[in-house]
Amino acid sequence: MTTVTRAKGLFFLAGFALFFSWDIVTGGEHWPFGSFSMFSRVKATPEISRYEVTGVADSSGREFSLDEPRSLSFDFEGRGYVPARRVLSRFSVFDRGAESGPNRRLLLAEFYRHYDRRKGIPRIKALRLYLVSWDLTQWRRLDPRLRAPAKRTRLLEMARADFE
Amino acid sequence: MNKLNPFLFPNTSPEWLGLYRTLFFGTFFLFYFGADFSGWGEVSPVFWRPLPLFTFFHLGIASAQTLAALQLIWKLSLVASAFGWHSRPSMAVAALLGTYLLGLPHCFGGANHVDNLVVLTLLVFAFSDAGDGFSLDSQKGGPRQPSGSYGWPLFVIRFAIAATYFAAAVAKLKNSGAAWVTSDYLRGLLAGSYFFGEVDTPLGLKLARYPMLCHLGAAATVATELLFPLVLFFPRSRLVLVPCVIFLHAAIWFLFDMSFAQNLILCLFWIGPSRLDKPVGHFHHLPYVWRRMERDGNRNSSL
Repeated sequence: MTTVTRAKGLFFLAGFALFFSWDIVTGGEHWPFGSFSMFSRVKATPEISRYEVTGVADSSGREFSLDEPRSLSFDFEGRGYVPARRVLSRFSVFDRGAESGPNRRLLLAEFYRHYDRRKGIPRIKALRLYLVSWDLTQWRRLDPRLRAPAKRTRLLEMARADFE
Repeated sequence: MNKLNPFLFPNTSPEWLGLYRTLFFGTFFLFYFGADFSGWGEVSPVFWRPLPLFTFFHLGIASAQTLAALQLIWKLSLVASAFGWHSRPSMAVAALLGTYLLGLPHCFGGANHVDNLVVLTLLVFAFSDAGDGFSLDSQKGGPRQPSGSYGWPLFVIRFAIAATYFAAAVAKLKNSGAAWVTSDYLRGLLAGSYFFGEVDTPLGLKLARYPMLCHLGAAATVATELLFPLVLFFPRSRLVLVPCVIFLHAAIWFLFDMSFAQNLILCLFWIGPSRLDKPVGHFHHLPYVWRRMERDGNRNSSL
């Protein structure tokens, strides 16, 4: 085995160890390394919650969910459709701190543009953001038929007109 | 440093490393055969949030046509690497284009951990002598002796896999401590995946009704991830820890609809005998009867 080969092996091992250790200690993410911290933070509340995004139909004013990956949403990942909730929360569009930021305006305008390219779905005039939650303290009642959330709070509404 | 040598540079047959190369590139060619990365060229730059790696190398979004061409070259390089045809340039192209194409989706709003180990493995193979055995290239040269230069790539790849699970365990303990096991967090995740509509089967919800079972599941998860690095130094521990990891991924897939299929495929690096210094076709590890038949056959043919 040559010195070059030995150096290559040590270089890779040391490099990998360094990057992994750095991310483990700092909790950082330097893809393809990382701290792999997803689902690592326990929530103190007995509730489970998530965001829900709905669209308000332009014509009828009917509200419908944009969370169903199979039926609608956003041609974001090239070869499929992902829920609006995931796309918009990825970019902190619903982050109240970024409410007046120009980035948010651009992102939402782009979202509407992508949405309108889809055929066979109603045109929407507004997006609504909800926080939906279920109570885990009553775990004995975790009945599959009780899929509806215990609480649904509207957080935000963003009309298309405000972003065009 | 000398104490590390038997682990980092174990005497390994070029055939074994070549066999792992063939399995890795062949399987991932099939896995990514239908993947189309060209759609990313049409996503608005408004959504562009480059990874630090992309920022460092000033990599941007290529057009849809360029991405279509790049992915074709990448897939051809995976096939060439699997067969060991012009192995060095093939594996180098596979690593370069693979890092770009697989990294691209992570530049649109947050990285996940489904393919990071694939990229690291591609990089290690690109700098290895994995084309010296079990390849079309090796038909040209003479036989090569087992050496540590065929052992280090396997150790480094296995190290990366083990570090991934270890990091996941440390993150849980660092961010939540024992509460990750003792609290109702896993129950919440199980119930949530059903209530959120991420899975259709209510099995997770049914499991969530049994708090003790959920605590045991959480403890087993952390223990498997934390202890997984043992497989690097104690080959026998693979018999327990590798099936545990496979079971863990299968459960996550079924209960949370998160496949991590790439990590499951990478379990192929734990298949095989603990010592890889004999040729692949050497039957020393087979049962006595088989060895006896083989020996008798050789004796008869020499008479």
